[in-house]
Amino acid sequence: MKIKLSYIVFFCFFITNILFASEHSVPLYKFSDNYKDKPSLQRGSEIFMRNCLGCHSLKYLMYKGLAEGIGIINDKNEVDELYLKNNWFFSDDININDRILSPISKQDSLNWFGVLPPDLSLVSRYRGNDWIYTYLKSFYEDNNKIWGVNNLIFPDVAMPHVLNSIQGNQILNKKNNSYVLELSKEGSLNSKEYDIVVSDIVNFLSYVGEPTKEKRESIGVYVLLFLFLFTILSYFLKKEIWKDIK
Amino acid sequence: MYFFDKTIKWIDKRFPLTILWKEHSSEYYSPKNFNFWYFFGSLAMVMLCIQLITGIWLTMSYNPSESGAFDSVEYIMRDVSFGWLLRYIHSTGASFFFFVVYLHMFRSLMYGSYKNPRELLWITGVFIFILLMSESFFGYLLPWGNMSFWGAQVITSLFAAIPFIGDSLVEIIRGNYNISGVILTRFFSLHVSAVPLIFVGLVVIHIMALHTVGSNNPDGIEIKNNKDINGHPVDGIFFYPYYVIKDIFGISVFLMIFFAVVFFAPSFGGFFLEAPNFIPADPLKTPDHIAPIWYMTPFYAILRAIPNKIGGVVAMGASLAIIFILPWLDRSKVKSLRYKGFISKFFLFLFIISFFVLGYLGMVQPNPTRTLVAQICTTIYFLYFILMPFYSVIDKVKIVPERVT
Repeated sequence: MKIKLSYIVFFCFFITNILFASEHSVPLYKFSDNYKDKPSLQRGSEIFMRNCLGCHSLKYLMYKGLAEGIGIINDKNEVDELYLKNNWFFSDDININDRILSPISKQDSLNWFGVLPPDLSLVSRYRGNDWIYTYLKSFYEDNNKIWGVNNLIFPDVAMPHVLNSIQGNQILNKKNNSYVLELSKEGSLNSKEYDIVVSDIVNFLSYVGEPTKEKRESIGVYVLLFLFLFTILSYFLKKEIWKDIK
Repeated sequence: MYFFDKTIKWIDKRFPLTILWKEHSSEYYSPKNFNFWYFFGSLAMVMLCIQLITGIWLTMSYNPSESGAFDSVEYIMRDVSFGWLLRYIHSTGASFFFFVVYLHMFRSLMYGSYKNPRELLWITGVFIFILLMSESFFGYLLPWGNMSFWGAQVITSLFAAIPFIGDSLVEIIRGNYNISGVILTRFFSLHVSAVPLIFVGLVVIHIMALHTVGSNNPDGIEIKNNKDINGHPVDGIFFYPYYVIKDIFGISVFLMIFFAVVFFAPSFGGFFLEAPNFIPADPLKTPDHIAPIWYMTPFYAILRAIPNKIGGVVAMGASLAIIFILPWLDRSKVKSLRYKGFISKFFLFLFIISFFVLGYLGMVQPNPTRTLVAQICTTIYFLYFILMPFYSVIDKVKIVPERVT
């Protein structure tokens, strides 16, 4: 009986897990992040600083810590300040120890967009990588909107399609009861190249959501290894101490 | 060694150190037939220590204010050395604490550990369980994420169901018309001082009560009834070293699972850390779906199963209150499920199934079918207790052996 009951308990636990799957009305593309791909993170950071930082902050990060984390370092193993000056900083007033804040003022953003652009430090944890990846690929032409675009998974979004010039224009078509996006005007990149750009941004935002992930997983291996050895040791010690108990 | 002995002697003259050590471990008799289910008591102790220690360190960097709480949690996660580790251990620890406590309680249901003479042991345990639920509820508000906010909103609004005084009571509890910085500092105080203090006190009482009556075992046989000529239980072995080393083995297996989650899946797919809690509390933005964290959901499902608000609150309260009187509901002649008959086994089986189904239903959006299932499961949940005085008597029991097996 005791064995049967324990099986039931664990069986139920797993069934509950399987049944609990989130449902999305629009299917999302799958994206898996890779914090080990430093070139991708660096490309992503550059795209972010040029295209997104105008409105979106990363207030929980500092330039220096971010540069260290994604490997923008020079020969002396220090943060490459020259690189940051040329590629990241939008003004000369920025110090390497500053937090990554957007220069946009509250009033301007309310005037232009009607909302405050959210801070993106935690967007990957709040929305998920799949969502951001799909979002950046789902803008389409909509002349009823103030910026001329709408988004399939974020209807009536207040954000313009910032990467429009490289992706080109998409239009929304209905096919077999489902919506599909089709390219109506080529951008400066083809769709494969654009996907790489989007992947780099999402990979970067995923890193930004949890910069300690690399450290976490690398330490974790050693912790589990130690506990594994300790378990073996305690098992044999238990056997030794218990050998006279009948 | 000479110095060590001398120090112990010096202390013993002034404090009963050796006596306590002998009484509670090196000469404390435990039944020798503990199985897998008997690991979860010591594991709950381990979880308590982990939560206390990580909690103390988190408090050092946390800022309990409306404007600073969310930022300070991110500060801990990013800028404090190993802050992320402390926070992940603490958040994963909450879920694992409930996990081991639920299994610990299930063990008692199986082997009748609540029955005479262990009624007080059971009651203090249920108090600890309820205290654990309130502790996790208070703690859940502290990150000041949007789910924290709306969770507290929903649960505090339950008090409004009380007739006449309900609305003013909610205002008193919140210290405001809404969830705000006022209740945040209140919950912070309760979470880090009041509840842990009472909790530790109750755990001490729980263990003292256990050591007075002695441990039950999978056979439900009192080892004290079978003593040798020296007056020692024949089927008893000393807690130290036998169960200490066995528990150390259990703890290290458990910690492997625990740290695998902490280091490789701390959010656990949204079960332990929910996505809507990664944006700050926003009174104007209700999350699409408000659900408590998994360990609360069975009781939340009972709350929602009753269409009437006050009825739901009463049902949820009753579902917890009825656990207290379990020792007087079970009138079976035997303790352990091993010697109970089919009906008892069947009812426990139904009870566990309905508890899991309720846990699932509490997580998802309600619809008419799900509400109906929740009502059926709620009924089974209560019938397990209410019918126990009858089915435990008519159930055919097997003959309990003299000695543990």
